[in-house]
Amino acid sequence: MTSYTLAKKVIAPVKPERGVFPLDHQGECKELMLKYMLCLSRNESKPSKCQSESKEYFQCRMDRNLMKKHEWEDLGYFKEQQKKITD
Amino acid sequence: MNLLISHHIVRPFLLKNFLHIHVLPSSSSSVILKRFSSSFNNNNNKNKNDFEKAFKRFERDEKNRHLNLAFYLSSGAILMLGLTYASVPLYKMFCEATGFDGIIKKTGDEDTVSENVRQLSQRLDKSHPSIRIHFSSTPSSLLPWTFEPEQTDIIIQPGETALAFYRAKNESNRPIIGIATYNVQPSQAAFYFNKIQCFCFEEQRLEPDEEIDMPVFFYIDPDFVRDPSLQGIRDISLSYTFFESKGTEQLALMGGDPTKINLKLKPSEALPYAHRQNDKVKIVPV
Repeated sequence: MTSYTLAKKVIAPVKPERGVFPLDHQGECKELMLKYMLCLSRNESKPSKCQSESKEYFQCRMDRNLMKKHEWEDLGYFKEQQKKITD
Repeated sequence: MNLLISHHIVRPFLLKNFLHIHVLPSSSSSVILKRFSSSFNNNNNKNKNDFEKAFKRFERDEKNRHLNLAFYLSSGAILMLGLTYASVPLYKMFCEATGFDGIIKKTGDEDTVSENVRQLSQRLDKSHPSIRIHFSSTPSSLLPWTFEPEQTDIIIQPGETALAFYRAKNESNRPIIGIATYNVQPSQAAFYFNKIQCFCFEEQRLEPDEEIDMPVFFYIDPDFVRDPSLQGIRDISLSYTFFESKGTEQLALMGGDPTKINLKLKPSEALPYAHRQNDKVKIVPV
């Protein structure tokens, strides 16, 4: 972001596309996060193999109003892709 | 200026060939008259009235020549000055359009974001190489938080959405509002790094001893594989840094309670590395 290479240019940060995740102060989705981490550690850190766990996490967030409700396609989970992964 | 230079260069040649004409460094009336008469004779107009009018016009133009030159040059200088002021927003626009040197691509509104993510499934190709994303965090000495990534790296393909987590804990005994920024290396890859949602650039408030999981949801644009400057790049590094939000220390101390406005940080708490003073051994009175 701030790369002082040629000149002191301070680059204004670009916000993420859908904004900020609200903070999970009560830790309501913490168990699902830990499940996802376990899955990653078992699958050589490949999130493509842990799609069900990450979907559960997003579902938890959406249910508790910690995230805007989206269709699964909007979050990048496609049925064809799931079939590809399970092959 | 140019006139002076040209005179000095031209003078030796003129002296040799045209000894009867004296070249003066500044325009005088005789020179004006000579130059005018030569140009006037070329027009073949012998009428006396026209001669006078034309001469007056010519004389004015000649006398104004230096002034005109000065005007042109000063306007050129002002133009350059204006360009230097305009270069800052122009450069920003250029960087956002082309993603030059690590600037993340400018994003549109919610509908375009959803559309982009939906189209990812068509652009996804199994033959694309897997890329390893490394996560790191920079601790800030002034902010008494522990801030670590939950995973050191993940392996994804361009076009896949990925979820990653960071964990932050407020180690101090006062509520703190922090802001996170991030950086993507290599800088050319930052253009293809699309962050759908994260926890950066907004104030995040943590109560004392509160620990929180912060997710980052992103994908890498499939055009990444077609960029010639990124051939062979298989590792991307994402690093986050948390800072304390300036000017909100008082607000955080108040905790939303307007009666607590006279609370102040103790000097020992405001020092850098104040949060590490807890490691000192405490002497218990016997």
